[in-house]
Amino acid sequence: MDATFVGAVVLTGIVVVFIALILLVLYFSIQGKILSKSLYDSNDVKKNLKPTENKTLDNIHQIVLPQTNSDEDEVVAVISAVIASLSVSDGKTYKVKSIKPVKSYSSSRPAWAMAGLRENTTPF
Amino acid sequence: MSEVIDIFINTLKDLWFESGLYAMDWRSIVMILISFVFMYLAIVKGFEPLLLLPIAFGMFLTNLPHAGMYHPELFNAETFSVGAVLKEGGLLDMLYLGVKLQIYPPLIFLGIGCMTDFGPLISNPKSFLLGAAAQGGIFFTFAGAAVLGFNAAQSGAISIIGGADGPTAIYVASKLLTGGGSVTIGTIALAAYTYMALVPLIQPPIMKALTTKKERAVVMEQLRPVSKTEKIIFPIVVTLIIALLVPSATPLVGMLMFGNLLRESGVCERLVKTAQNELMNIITIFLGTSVGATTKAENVINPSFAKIMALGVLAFALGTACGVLFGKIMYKVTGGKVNPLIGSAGVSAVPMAARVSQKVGAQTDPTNFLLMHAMGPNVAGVIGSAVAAGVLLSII
Repeated sequence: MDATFVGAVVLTGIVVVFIALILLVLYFSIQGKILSKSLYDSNDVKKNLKPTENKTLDNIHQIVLPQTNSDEDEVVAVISAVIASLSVSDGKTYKVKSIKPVKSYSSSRPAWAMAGLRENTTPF
Repeated sequence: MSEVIDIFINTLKDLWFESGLYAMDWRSIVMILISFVFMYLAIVKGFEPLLLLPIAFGMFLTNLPHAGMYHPELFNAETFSVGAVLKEGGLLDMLYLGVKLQIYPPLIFLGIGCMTDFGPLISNPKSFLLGAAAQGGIFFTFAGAAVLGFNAAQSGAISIIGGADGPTAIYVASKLLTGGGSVTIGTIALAAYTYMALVPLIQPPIMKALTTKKERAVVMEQLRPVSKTEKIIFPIVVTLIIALLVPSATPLVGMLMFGNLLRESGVCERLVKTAQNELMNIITIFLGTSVGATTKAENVINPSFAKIMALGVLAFALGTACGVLFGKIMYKVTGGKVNPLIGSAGVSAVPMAARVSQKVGAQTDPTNFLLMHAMGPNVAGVIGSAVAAGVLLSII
């Protein structure tokens, strides 16, 4: 086989593969920005956040701390949901008086994040 | 009475001359022993058993003399006719029609699409670049095959082993290897599946050699959640863009994305279950056995097979190296946000290559979970290898 032909195949192949996938990168990067933004704007939980404490569990979203990031909001929501389920089974009313972040010295990741990671990677 | 005895003796003689024992030669014995080795690897060592075991048994069947299950002369490019195969062929000849007519690989891709979650790729589209970089192994191996004296079609079929994708390798080989010759679809498939199972052995030394400890320790940012809308749009857009750019990649990429759309739509659960299970299993049995049947003694016991196996490991090594090196470039460009180890996952052995990235990363920092980040380049590599296959088919 002619060296020129081989060189042409190698160059063309690598360039075409890159062009095709770069187009996909560009499209999905733009799409991701547009769709992520529109999802954020339509998120009703964010609009109902109020700084509060000692609220009942009827309105879970009102327990969320102000100026927290979305990960902490979700963690608080999960904890509140678990406690709400206790109310259903016990027949008693539980109140979440406060939720404070605790410094972890053993790992750079919060325990919930580690647990979630382990669960997601276990099937592999 | 003596007539009866004469007929009896002549019949026994005829049976003996027609038997496989009489026709057995040293090549058949060697091939049968090689098939036993592959069966051992598949069953005991767990080397890609779903395909390697059917391939090994197909190899065993085809090398039994006078069994008549596979006739390579029926598939010669000049004289090939489906009617002739149906009329004169054996069982494996008829099953092989699915390979020859390029039916099985796209159907396997349909099943793979139903099983694949492209979420990690959608949430971090830059992973596409790592998937593209790893396909460098294919094209550099093409050059290596040319140096060793193979022609363009053979070099193309051998180099696609570097895509680390069995159906893609079989698809390209069935399109390019139309005549006879020392390189067959069976030998390509054998090399591809053997090395796919050896990814955990081939990749780590290359990954460690090309990266520093600081680079391997990079903890990447958590991936953003991906909505259902994005997951539904993804297969449609990928099919559109790739099919318009590289039409010859459409059968593979199109079926992969069709399967993924069935899965992500959420309204075709029965179809998804069938594609993931029954369809995949049936095609796997037919494909593996019939491809194994092409590994006749004259195709394997020759220097070309040794060259193919050597080029196969070269293809995997080069693909890994290209992916990791591009990962290093991304590490520099992003100011240390990308762990170069995920570049090796662009070699599309899903999810084995992603697991290897996770494992090597964890050796440096046990709390570093790279698996989901590595899945992005891993599934991008499937698309990349299908595009590379389309490019090879267009050029050659």
